[in-house]
Amino acid sequence: MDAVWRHWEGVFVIYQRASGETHAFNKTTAEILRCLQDGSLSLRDLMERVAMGFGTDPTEFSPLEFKRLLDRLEHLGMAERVDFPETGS
Amino acid sequence: MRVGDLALQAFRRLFVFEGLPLRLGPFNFRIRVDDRGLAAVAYRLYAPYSLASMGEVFDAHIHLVRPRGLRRWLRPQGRFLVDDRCPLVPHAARHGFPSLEWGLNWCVATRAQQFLMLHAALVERGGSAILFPAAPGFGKSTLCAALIHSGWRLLSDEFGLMRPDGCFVPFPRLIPLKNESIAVIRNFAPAAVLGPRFEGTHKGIVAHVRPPEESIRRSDEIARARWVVFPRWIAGAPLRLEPMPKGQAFLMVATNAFNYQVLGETAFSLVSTLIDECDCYALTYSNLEEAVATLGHLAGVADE
Repeated sequence: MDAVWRHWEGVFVIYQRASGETHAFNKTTAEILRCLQDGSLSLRDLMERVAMGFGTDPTEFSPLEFKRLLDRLEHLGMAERVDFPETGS
Repeated sequence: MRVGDLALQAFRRLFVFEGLPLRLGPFNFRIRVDDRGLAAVAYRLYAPYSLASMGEVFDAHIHLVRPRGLRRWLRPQGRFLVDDRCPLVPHAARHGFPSLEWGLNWCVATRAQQFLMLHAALVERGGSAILFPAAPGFGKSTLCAALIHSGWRLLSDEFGLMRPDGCFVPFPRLIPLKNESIAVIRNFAPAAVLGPRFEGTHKGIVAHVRPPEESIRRSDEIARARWVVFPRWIAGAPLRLEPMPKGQAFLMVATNAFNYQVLGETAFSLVSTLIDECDCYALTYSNLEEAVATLGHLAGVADE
Protein backbone atom coordinates (compact mmCIF):
# COMPACT_ATOMS: atom_id res chain seq x y z
CA MET A 1 0.00 0.00 0.00
CA ASP A 2 1.38 3.38 -1.01
CA ALA A 3 0.73 5.60 1.97
CA VAL A 4 2.14 8.26 4.29
CA TRP A 5 1.96 7.63 8.01
CA ARG A 6 1.97 9.91 11.04
CA HIS A 7 1.11 9.14 14.61
CA TRP A 8 0.49 11.05 17.80
CA GLU A 9 -0.27 9.53 21.18
CA GLY A 10 -1.72 6.26 19.94
CA VAL A 11 -3.64 7.69 17.00
CA PHE A 12 -2.25 6.72 13.60
CA VAL A 13 -3.21 8.93 10.67
CA ILE A 14 -2.57 7.49 7.25
CA TYR A 15 -2.81 9.23 3.88
CA GLN A 16 -3.57 6.66 1.17
CA ARG A 17 -2.13 7.93 -2.10
CA ALA A 18 -4.29 5.72 -4.35
CA SER A 19 -7.59 7.05 -3.02
CA GLY A 20 -6.44 10.45 -1.75
CA GLU A 21 -8.18 9.65 1.54
CA THR A 22 -6.95 10.08 5.08
CA HIS A 23 -7.77 7.44 7.68
CA ALA A 24 -7.29 7.32 11.43
CA PHE A 25 -6.60 4.05 13.21
CA ASN A 26 -5.72 2.81 16.65
CA LYS A 27 -2.37 1.11 17.23
CA THR A 28 -3.69 -2.43 16.68
CA THR A 29 -5.10 -1.67 13.24
CA ALA A 30 -2.00 0.33 12.36
CA GLU A 31 0.20 -2.61 13.39
CA ILE A 32 -1.87 -4.96 11.25
CA LEU A 33 -1.29 -2.69 8.28
CA ARG A 34 2.39 -2.42 9.03
CA CYS A 35 2.74 -6.21 9.17
CA LEU A 36 0.84 -6.65 5.91
CA GLN A 37 3.15 -4.22 4.16
CA ASP A 38 5.81 -6.96 4.26
CA GLY A 39 3.56 -9.35 2.33
CA SER A 40 0.52 -11.59 2.68
CA LEU A 41 -0.02 -13.43 5.98
CA SER A 42 -2.51 -15.97 7.21
CA LEU A 43 -4.76 -14.82 10.03
CA ARG A 44 -2.78 -16.91 12.52
CA ASP A 45 0.58 -15.57 11.32
CA LEU A 46 -0.74 -12.06 11.31
CA MET A 47 -1.91 -12.34 14.91
CA GLU A 48 1.48 -13.75 15.90
CA ARG A 49 3.31 -10.96 14.10
CA VAL A 50 1.16 -8.25 15.71
CA ALA A 51 1.57 -9.86 19.11
CA MET A 52 5.33 -9.94 18.58
CA GLY A 53 5.28 -6.25 17.70
CA PHE A 54 3.45 -5.45 20.94
CA GLY A 55 5.45 -7.92 23.04
CA THR A 56 2.30 -9.83 24.00
CA ASP A 57 0.86 -13.31 23.50
CA PRO A 58 -1.29 -13.91 20.38
CA THR A 59 -3.94 -15.59 22.53
CA GLU A 60 -4.72 -12.13 23.92
CA PHE A 61 -6.25 -11.25 20.56
CA SER A 62 -9.64 -12.34 19.31
CA PRO A 63 -9.62 -13.88 15.80
CA LEU A 64 -13.11 -12.50 15.29
CA GLU A 65 -11.96 -8.99 16.14
CA PHE A 66 -9.01 -9.36 13.76
CA LYS A 67 -11.34 -10.52 10.99
CA ARG A 68 -13.55 -7.48 11.65
CA LEU A 69 -10.54 -5.15 11.41
CA LEU A 70 -9.37 -6.86 8.21
CA ASP A 71 -12.86 -6.53 6.72
CA ARG A 72 -12.72 -2.82 7.43
CA LEU A 73 -9.28 -2.47 5.86
CA GLU A 74 -10.47 -4.40 2.82
CA HIS A 75 -13.52 -2.16 2.57
CA LEU A 76 -11.20 0.88 2.58
CA GLY A 77 -9.05 -0.67 -0.14
CA MET A 78 -6.05 -0.90 2.18
CA ALA A 79 -5.85 -4.70 2.36
CA GLU A 80 -6.84 -7.52 0.05
CA ARG A 81 -8.07 -11.00 0.92
CA VAL A 82 -6.06 -13.83 -0.64
CA ASP A 83 -6.52 -17.57 -0.22
CA PHE A 84 -3.94 -19.57 1.69
CA PRO A 85 -4.18 -23.23 0.66
CA GLU A 86 -3.20 -24.57 4.07
CA THR A 87 -5.67 -22.49 6.10
CA GLY A 88 -8.19 -21.16 3.64
CA SER A 89 -8.17 -17.78 5.41
CA MET B 1 -2.60 54.42 -1.53
CA ARG B 2 -5.40 53.56 0.82
CA VAL B 3 -9.14 53.74 0.30
CA GLY B 4 -9.35 56.43 2.97
CA ASP B 5 -6.98 58.65 0.96
CA LEU B 6 -9.71 59.05 -1.63
CA ALA B 7 -12.42 61.65 -1.24
CA LEU B 8 -15.83 60.06 -0.71
CA GLN B 9 -16.95 61.32 -4.11
CA ALA B 10 -13.99 59.68 -5.86
CA PHE B 11 -14.55 56.49 -3.91
CA ARG B 12 -18.22 56.46 -4.89
CA ARG B 13 -17.31 56.86 -8.57
CA LEU B 14 -15.03 53.81 -8.37
CA PHE B 15 -17.37 51.76 -6.20
CA VAL B 16 -20.51 52.39 -8.24
CA PHE B 17 -19.25 52.95 -11.80
CA GLU B 18 -15.64 52.05 -12.57
CA GLY B 19 -14.85 49.28 -10.10
CA LEU B 20 -12.93 49.70 -6.85
CA PRO B 21 -9.48 48.05 -7.06
CA LEU B 22 -9.28 46.69 -3.53
CA ARG B 23 -6.38 44.72 -2.07
CA LEU B 24 -7.45 42.30 0.65
CA GLY B 25 -4.49 40.36 2.01
CA PRO B 26 -2.89 38.43 -0.87
CA PHE B 27 -5.84 39.02 -3.21
CA ASN B 28 -6.87 41.85 -5.52
CA PHE B 29 -10.55 42.36 -6.20
CA ARG B 30 -12.23 44.80 -8.49
CA ILE B 31 -15.59 45.61 -6.96
CA ARG B 32 -18.52 47.41 -8.51
CA VAL B 33 -21.83 47.82 -6.68
CA ASP B 34 -24.99 49.19 -8.29
CA ASP B 35 -26.11 50.80 -5.06
CA ARG B 36 -24.98 54.31 -4.20
CA GLY B 37 -26.42 53.84 -0.72
CA LEU B 38 -23.75 51.27 0.13
CA ALA B 39 -20.87 53.50 -0.87
CA ALA B 40 -20.74 55.38 2.45
CA VAL B 41 -20.79 52.12 4.42
CA ALA B 42 -18.04 50.59 2.29
CA TYR B 43 -15.98 53.81 2.39
CA ARG B 44 -15.96 53.82 6.18
CA LEU B 45 -15.26 50.12 6.64
CA TYR B 46 -12.69 49.76 3.85
CA ALA B 47 -10.87 53.05 4.62
CA PRO B 48 -7.59 51.50 5.93
CA TYR B 49 -7.30 48.95 3.10
CA SER B 50 -4.90 49.46 0.21
CA LEU B 51 -5.97 50.14 -3.32
CA ALA B 52 -4.56 47.88 -5.99
CA SER B 53 -3.18 49.59 -9.04
CA MET B 54 -5.18 49.13 -12.21
CA GLY B 55 -2.18 47.47 -13.88
CA GLU B 56 -2.24 44.53 -11.45
CA VAL B 57 -3.91 41.20 -12.05
CA PHE B 58 -7.27 40.89 -10.29
CA ASP B 59 -8.25 37.62 -8.68
CA ALA B 60 -11.90 38.35 -9.38
CA HIS B 61 -14.08 41.05 -10.86
CA ILE B 62 -17.11 41.48 -8.64
CA HIS B 63 -20.33 43.18 -9.65
CA LEU B 64 -23.26 43.49 -7.30
CA VAL B 65 -26.18 44.01 -9.62
CA ARG B 66 -29.32 45.72 -8.44
CA PRO B 67 -32.69 44.23 -9.33
CA ARG B 68 -34.45 45.00 -12.58
CA GLY B 69 -38.04 44.67 -13.72
CA LEU B 70 -40.61 43.57 -11.16
CA ARG B 71 -37.87 42.61 -8.69
CA ARG B 72 -37.05 46.27 -8.38
CA TRP B 73 -40.32 46.80 -6.55
CA LEU B 74 -41.50 43.40 -5.33
CA ARG B 75 -39.23 41.95 -2.62
CA PRO B 76 -36.19 43.44 -4.39
CA GLN B 77 -33.26 41.12 -4.95
CA GLY B 78 -29.67 41.67 -5.95
CA ARG B 79 -27.23 39.36 -7.68
CA PHE B 80 -23.56 38.74 -7.00
CA LEU B 81 -21.61 38.40 -10.25
CA VAL B 82 -18.06 37.05 -10.43
CA ASP B 83 -16.38 37.64 -13.75
CA ASP B 84 -19.84 38.16 -15.24
CA ARG B 85 -21.18 34.85 -13.93
CA CYS B 86 -23.75 34.50 -11.18
CA PRO B 87 -22.72 31.52 -9.01
CA LEU B 88 -24.77 32.36 -5.93
CA VAL B 89 -28.49 32.56 -5.28
CA PRO B 90 -29.88 36.11 -5.37
CA HIS B 91 -29.92 38.02 -2.09
CA ALA B 92 -32.39 40.49 -0.64
CA ALA B 93 -31.38 43.88 -1.99
CA ARG B 94 -31.24 45.32 1.53
CA HIS B 95 -28.52 42.78 2.38
CA GLY B 96 -26.16 43.99 -0.33
CA PHE B 97 -23.17 44.70 1.90
CA PRO B 98 -23.14 41.41 3.85
CA SER B 99 -23.76 39.59 0.57
CA LEU B 100 -20.75 41.34 -0.95
CA GLU B 101 -18.58 40.23 1.98
CA TRP B 102 -19.90 36.64 1.87
CA GLY B 103 -19.44 36.60 -1.88
CA LEU B 104 -15.79 37.60 -1.48
CA ASN B 105 -15.41 34.64 0.89
CA TRP B 106 -16.95 32.40 -1.75
CA CYS B 107 -14.42 33.62 -4.32
CA VAL B 108 -11.52 32.83 -2.03
CA ALA B 109 -12.90 29.47 -0.91
CA THR B 110 -13.39 28.29 -4.48
CA ARG B 111 -10.27 29.76 -6.10
CA ALA B 112 -7.33 30.13 -3.73
CA GLN B 113 -6.05 26.59 -4.11
CA GLN B 114 -2.45 27.80 -3.76
CA PHE B 115 -3.16 27.76 0.00
CA LEU B 116 -4.45 25.15 2.38
CA MET B 117 -7.55 27.01 3.54
CA LEU B 118 -8.51 26.26 7.12
CA HIS B 119 -11.86 27.45 8.41
CA ALA B 120 -10.26 29.25 11.28
CA ALA B 121 -9.43 32.56 12.88
CA LEU B 122 -5.80 33.45 13.37
CA VAL B 123 -4.27 36.11 15.62
CA GLU B 124 -0.65 36.91 16.36
CA ARG B 125 1.25 38.59 19.15
CA GLY B 126 4.94 38.63 19.90
CA GLY B 127 5.73 36.74 16.71
CA SER B 128 3.63 33.63 17.41
CA ALA B 129 0.10 32.97 16.28
CA ILE B 130 -2.90 31.15 17.70
CA LEU B 131 -5.11 29.31 15.25
CA PHE B 132 -8.77 28.94 16.20
CA PRO B 133 -10.45 26.33 14.00
CA ALA B 134 -14.18 26.20 14.63
CA ALA B 135 -17.49 25.44 13.05
CA PRO B 136 -20.02 28.31 12.73
CA GLY B 137 -21.71 29.18 16.00
CA PHE B 138 -18.81 28.26 18.26
CA GLY B 139 -17.88 31.85 19.13
CA LYS B 140 -14.79 32.06 16.94
CA SER B 141 -15.50 35.51 15.48
CA THR B 142 -16.52 37.03 18.80
CA LEU B 143 -13.38 35.76 20.50
CA CYS B 144 -11.28 36.92 17.56
CA ALA B 145 -12.84 40.41 17.63
CA ALA B 146 -12.15 40.66 21.37
CA LEU B 147 -8.52 39.58 20.95
CA ILE B 148 -7.73 42.04 18.19
CA HIS B 149 -9.02 44.83 20.41
CA SER B 150 -6.74 43.58 23.20
CA GLY B 151 -3.37 43.91 21.51
CA TRP B 152 -3.42 40.92 19.15
CA ARG B 153 -2.91 41.29 15.41
CA LEU B 154 -5.58 39.87 13.13
CA LEU B 155 -4.38 37.59 10.39
CA SER B 156 -7.79 36.19 9.61
CA ASP B 157 -11.23 35.69 11.03
CA GLU B 158 -12.46 33.12 8.52
CA PHE B 159 -9.58 31.73 6.44
CA GLY B 160 -6.34 30.39 7.81
CA LEU B 161 -4.34 30.64 4.57
CA MET B 162 -1.42 28.23 4.91
CA ARG B 163 1.38 28.31 2.37
CA PRO B 164 3.28 25.18 1.32
CA ASP B 165 6.12 26.22 3.65
CA GLY B 166 3.78 26.15 6.66
CA CYS B 167 3.55 29.92 7.12
CA PHE B 168 0.19 31.68 7.34
CA VAL B 169 -0.58 34.61 5.07
CA PRO B 170 -2.63 37.45 6.59
CA PHE B 171 -6.10 38.05 5.24
CA PRO B 172 -7.46 40.62 7.68
CA ARG B 173 -11.02 41.05 6.48
CA LEU B 174 -13.97 42.69 8.17
CA ILE B 175 -15.36 40.41 10.89
CA PRO B 176 -19.09 39.71 10.55
CA LEU B 177 -20.58 39.61 14.04
CA LYS B 178 -23.95 37.98 14.41
CA ASN B 179 -26.87 38.60 16.72
CA GLU B 180 -25.90 38.87 20.41
CA SER B 181 -22.20 39.09 19.56
CA ILE B 182 -22.70 42.62 18.24
CA ALA B 183 -23.64 44.04 21.64
CA VAL B 184 -20.99 41.88 23.34
CA ILE B 185 -18.21 43.46 21.27
CA ARG B 186 -19.69 46.95 21.57
CA ASN B 187 -19.43 46.55 25.34
CA PHE B 188 -16.05 44.83 25.28
CA ALA B 189 -14.40 47.30 22.91
CA PRO B 190 -16.34 50.59 22.76
CA ALA B 191 -13.71 52.04 20.40
CA ALA B 192 -14.20 49.26 17.83
CA VAL B 193 -15.37 50.47 14.42
CA LEU B 194 -18.61 48.68 13.59
CA GLY B 195 -20.73 48.98 10.49
CA PRO B 196 -24.53 49.15 10.40
CA ARG B 197 -26.75 46.28 11.49
CA PHE B 198 -28.28 44.21 8.71
CA GLU B 199 -31.36 42.45 10.01
CA GLY B 200 -33.05 39.34 8.67
CA THR B 201 -30.10 37.81 6.83
CA HIS B 202 -29.83 34.02 6.63
CA LYS B 203 -27.49 34.28 9.61
CA GLY B 204 -29.72 36.66 11.57
CA ILE B 205 -28.56 40.17 12.40
CA VAL B 206 -25.08 40.95 11.06
CA ALA B 207 -22.74 43.88 11.71
CA HIS B 208 -19.15 44.08 10.54
CA VAL B 209 -16.18 44.99 12.72
CA ARG B 210 -13.28 46.70 11.03
CA PRO B 211 -9.91 45.28 12.12
CA PRO B 212 -7.51 47.71 13.80
CA GLU B 213 -5.46 49.63 11.25
CA GLU B 214 -2.23 47.98 12.34
CA SER B 215 -3.54 44.55 11.34
CA ILE B 216 -4.40 45.82 7.88
CA ARG B 217 -1.13 47.72 7.51
CA ARG B 218 0.83 44.56 8.36
CA SER B 219 -0.99 42.43 5.78
CA ASP B 220 2.33 41.36 4.27
CA GLU B 221 3.77 39.94 7.51
CA ILE B 222 3.38 36.18 7.55
CA ALA B 223 3.34 34.17 10.77
CA ARG B 224 3.68 30.61 12.01
CA ALA B 225 1.16 29.13 14.37
CA ARG B 226 2.39 28.13 17.81
CA TRP B 227 -0.93 27.06 19.31
CA VAL B 228 -4.10 25.47 17.95
CA VAL B 229 -7.07 26.27 20.17
CA PHE B 230 -10.56 24.93 19.47
CA PRO B 231 -12.92 27.49 21.01
CA ARG B 232 -16.46 26.92 22.09
CA TRP B 233 -18.70 29.50 23.68
CA ILE B 234 -21.29 28.01 26.04
CA ALA B 235 -23.61 30.31 27.99
CA GLY B 236 -22.69 30.36 31.66
CA ALA B 237 -19.88 27.83 31.28
CA PRO B 238 -16.77 28.23 33.46
CA LEU B 239 -13.58 28.84 31.53
CA ARG B 240 -11.66 25.66 30.73
CA LEU B 241 -8.49 25.42 28.66
CA GLU B 242 -7.51 21.78 28.36
CA PRO B 243 -4.80 20.09 26.30
CA MET B 244 -6.18 18.18 23.34
CA PRO B 245 -4.55 14.97 22.04
CA LYS B 246 -2.71 15.75 18.83
CA GLY B 247 -4.28 12.91 16.88
CA GLN B 248 -7.72 14.31 17.63
CA ALA B 249 -6.52 17.82 16.79
CA PHE B 250 -5.20 16.60 13.43
CA LEU B 251 -8.57 15.13 12.50
CA MET B 252 -10.47 18.23 13.61
CA VAL B 253 -8.20 20.57 11.63
CA ALA B 254 -8.24 18.36 8.52
CA THR B 255 -12.01 17.99 8.47
CA ASN B 256 -12.38 21.70 9.00
CA ALA B 257 -10.32 22.72 5.94
CA PHE B 258 -12.08 24.05 2.85
CA ASN B 259 -9.80 22.28 0.37
CA TYR B 260 -8.13 19.36 2.15
CA GLN B 261 -9.38 16.90 -0.47
CA VAL B 262 -8.28 19.12 -3.33
CA LEU B 263 -4.69 19.41 -2.11
CA GLY B 264 -4.38 15.75 -1.11
CA GLU B 265 -0.96 14.78 0.21
CA THR B 266 0.17 18.42 0.41
CA ALA B 267 -2.72 19.10 2.78
CA PHE B 268 -1.90 15.99 4.83
CA SER B 269 1.69 17.12 5.13
CA LEU B 270 0.75 20.70 6.06
CA VAL B 271 -1.72 19.69 8.75
CA SER B 272 0.85 17.23 10.12
CA THR B 273 3.45 20.01 10.29
CA LEU B 274 0.98 22.32 11.99
CA ILE B 275 0.12 19.72 14.63
CA ASP B 276 3.79 18.88 15.18
CA GLU B 277 4.69 22.53 15.73
CA CYS B 278 1.71 23.52 17.89
CA ASP B 279 0.40 22.84 21.36
CA CYS B 280 -3.27 21.96 21.00
CA TYR B 281 -6.06 22.92 23.36
CA ALA B 282 -9.83 22.94 23.72
CA LEU B 283 -11.20 26.18 25.13
CA THR B 284 -14.66 26.46 26.64
CA TYR B 285 -15.72 29.92 27.74
CA SER B 286 -18.62 32.21 28.40
CA ASN B 287 -16.78 35.31 29.66
CA LEU B 288 -14.73 37.13 27.03
CA GLU B 289 -12.47 38.95 29.49
CA GLU B 290 -11.50 35.64 31.09
CA ALA B 291 -10.88 34.01 27.73
CA VAL B 292 -8.69 36.89 26.52
CA ALA B 293 -6.68 36.88 29.76
CA THR B 294 -6.20 33.10 29.65
CA LEU B 295 -5.00 33.17 26.06
CA GLY B 296 -2.61 35.99 26.99
CA HIS B 297 -1.15 33.80 29.75
CA LEU B 298 -0.90 30.88 27.34
CA ALA B 299 1.08 33.01 24.90
CA GLY B 300 3.18 34.62 27.65
CA VAL B 301 2.03 38.10 26.78
CA ALA B 302 -0.32 38.69 29.71
CA ASP B 303 1.80 41.45 31.18
CA GLU B 304 2.47 43.39 28.00
